[in-house]
Amino acid sequence: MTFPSGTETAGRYAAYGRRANNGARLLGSVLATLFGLLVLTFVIGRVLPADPVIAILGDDYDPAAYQRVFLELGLDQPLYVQFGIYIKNILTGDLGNAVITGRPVIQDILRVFPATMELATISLLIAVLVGVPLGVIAAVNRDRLPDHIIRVVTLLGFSAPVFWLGLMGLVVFYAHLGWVAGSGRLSLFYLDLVPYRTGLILLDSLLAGEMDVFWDALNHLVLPASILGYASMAYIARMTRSFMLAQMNQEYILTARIKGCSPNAVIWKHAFKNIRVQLLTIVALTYGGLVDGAVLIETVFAWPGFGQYMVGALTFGDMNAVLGCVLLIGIIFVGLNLLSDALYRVFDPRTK
Amino acid sequence: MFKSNTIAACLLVFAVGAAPDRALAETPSDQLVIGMTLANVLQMDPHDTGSYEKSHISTQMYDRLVEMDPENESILRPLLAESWEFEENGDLVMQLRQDAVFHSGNKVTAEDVVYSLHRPLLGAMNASSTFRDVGFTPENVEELITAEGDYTVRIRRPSDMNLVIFMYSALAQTAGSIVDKQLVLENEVDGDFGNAFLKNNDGGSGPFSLNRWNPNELIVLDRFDDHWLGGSEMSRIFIMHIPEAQAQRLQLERGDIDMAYTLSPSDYASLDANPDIDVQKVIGDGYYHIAMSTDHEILGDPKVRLALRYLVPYDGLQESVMTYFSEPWHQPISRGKVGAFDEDLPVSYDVDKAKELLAEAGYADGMELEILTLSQPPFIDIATAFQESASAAGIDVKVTQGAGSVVYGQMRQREFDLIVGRNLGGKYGDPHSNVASSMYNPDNTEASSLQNYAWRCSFYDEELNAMIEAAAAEQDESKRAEMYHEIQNHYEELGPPFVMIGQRIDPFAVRTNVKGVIRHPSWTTRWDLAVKE
Repeated sequence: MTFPSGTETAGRYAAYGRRANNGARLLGSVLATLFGLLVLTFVIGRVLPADPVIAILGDDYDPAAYQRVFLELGLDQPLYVQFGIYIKNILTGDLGNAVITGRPVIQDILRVFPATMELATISLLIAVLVGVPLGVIAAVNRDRLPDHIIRVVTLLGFSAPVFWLGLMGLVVFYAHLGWVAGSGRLSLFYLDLVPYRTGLILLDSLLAGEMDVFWDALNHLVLPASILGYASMAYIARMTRSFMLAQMNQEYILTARIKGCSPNAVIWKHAFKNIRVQLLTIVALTYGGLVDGAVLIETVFAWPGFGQYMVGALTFGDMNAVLGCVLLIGIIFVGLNLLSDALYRVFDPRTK
Repeated sequence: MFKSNTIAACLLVFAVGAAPDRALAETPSDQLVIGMTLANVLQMDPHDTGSYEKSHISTQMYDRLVEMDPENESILRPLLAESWEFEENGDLVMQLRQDAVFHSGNKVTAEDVVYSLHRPLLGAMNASSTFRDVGFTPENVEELITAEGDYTVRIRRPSDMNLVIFMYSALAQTAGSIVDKQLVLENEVDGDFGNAFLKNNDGGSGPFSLNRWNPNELIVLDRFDDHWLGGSEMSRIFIMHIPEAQAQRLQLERGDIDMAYTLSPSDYASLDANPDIDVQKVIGDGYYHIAMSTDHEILGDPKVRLALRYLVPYDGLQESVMTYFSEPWHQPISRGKVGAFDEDLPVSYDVDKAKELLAEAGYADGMELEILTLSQPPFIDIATAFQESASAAGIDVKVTQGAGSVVYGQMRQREFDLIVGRNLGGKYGDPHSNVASSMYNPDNTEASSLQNYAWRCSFYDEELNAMIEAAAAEQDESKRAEMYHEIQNHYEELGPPFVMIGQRIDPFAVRTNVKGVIRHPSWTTRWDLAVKE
């Protein structure tokens, strides 16, 4: 048995110390980011000229009812006191009650977030599975017919408003062809057939072995996810093309070709391998944007998701709900950033 | 190879989704599926915040004492109150039916009724304004509304006002919903009159009970088999949140929903031609209008207010924008009510007449005004049409758009020039509904507890107030009709603070195989009467 020498032990402790330091710094910056977000949102929400009490009661409110709701919302307190109370409650794990539902914000978010998560994840899958190959094909066939076709397709995805695509999709695939289901996540006949486990209906129905429910959920999901995925796919394809073009002009590609590598090997083993890190950033950001809630698509398809919830909260000036949503978005972005940082280390040997 | 595999995988994803829909089918014959936007359904307490959509939900969950006939609102029909009479002193005595039970199984008694009629005022809930209008206050309501035995309720007059107006304005509305006193008290927290509990739960005796409410997603109501009416033919009602009007229309056309409540005018126009769908255009409450602040230094002049009346392109607006929003009617009392005129007020777009009036008022060189409006149709269309037509008379109108909480907040603070609105009473079958909203202003101070539309426009006339109070107290219907004619004439002489655009209509679309649902002008449409062929 060998024992570490004193110098080795000291070195190891120093490394642990550095890691702990880095960890603390990271945690500090995450908390500062989230805190900053909350302060900003709170201030913006409260300085807007909108009156949340009227938003809730309607313009024909009774003055006594106005006073009651005003007090219930804590609006009689100075801004800093309102914010202080909110932060204190957050530290005890309480995000407060949402006015727009009368329920705890956490409970609301747990209900609406899985719906958005499911939609965003399938959309991203479509976007990546279609967008990346299209981008590569466009780059490899630069200025030739496939590149032009892909450019037109992706430009359409970029420029067509997503709600218009959604409505057109409903008219064609739901109303005329009857290929897909209409609004919502599930047909009414399948309500309550699957016990709630994750809130992701596709997953829950698979876990419960309810294949009819699975197909029905997929039928509801496919159109909004495809349209949302199309818009993201356009972005990913364009970015992939430009990343690939930058690589294809490098000398190492020329070297590989001269050495006799097959075209497929040159593209996928050499060029593509080197754009993975950049692509990862793009995909992570796209996912972040999708998970924030695709409000327009959620509205067109009556998808009971996070985007609709957040817009409703904003419309009614429901600060507890708005702040809860902002906090979650902040956590998602920070989380995705950390995840993509971690994946850099896997894909990029220089960071090791 | 890789390319073709990828493409195949992508195609598979689409193909799986594009498989023929297994779930599409006609809605079941004993279930009603309704599409509407639920964004304004914030809670389920029938006495608190009310919206068009929520009133419909409350109507199914809660019984009221009486209801108005949807086809003739001046007719009151019994619900929980089997019969009623007015005593000589004006007291209203109501006999309750004895076979009604709440969803909890508790019997509906006079105690529940009295508690329910005290609750809005004592709990400072939004419905309390309808009680205040008649003269009830938190201080006097317990003394004036009392139980006599298990099934008799006595309501004494808080003012000279005829209590039949109270029957229309409160008892027949969702404000008069009867809640389960025992259940509510069991769930009361910090003296909130069970408000927190009823926000998310059911405490009624109506034909349907609340099975589930997922905000902004779905409401499921189950038939209450022990309802005194014997139970609806519909075992369940689904109310689906479909915020996009066109998506609602497509689902209605496909038969995935039976009724659509919140469609846009272009959808109604298209559905009108569909033989499978019946579009009901029911006169609703209130008017689309432009309100003017009489506190404004220029608009305080009645001649200027009258001049603005000639600067609205009525015909063009009606044809192009308002077809499914309003019908031409510009008198202050809604058409068909007691005391309403037979003829409409002659209004027209007449720039010369407007200029003449402005010159008489000393504003021949024009002026600058701001008009506040919601940023949605038809409000914004009315504002921009007015902006353009008023410019012909030298009036420079600045249009400011905003959400309701901004626009109406400014109106409540009486800090505005002009505002496009949709109200002015008419929610019940009595003319008092209109005049109480648009003309009656007994206290024009900032501390007034009655902040109706007349107050918001700082419109105050002592004589008019006295005439309105006298008409509300009058028992003889023909005399009342005459008095309301005089009220309207006097109001016209004063220079009304509103330019009436048209009387509101609330259309809705229903599949023709659904019978028995008659759209109620007072947002209390009964879905329990639905039958499917």
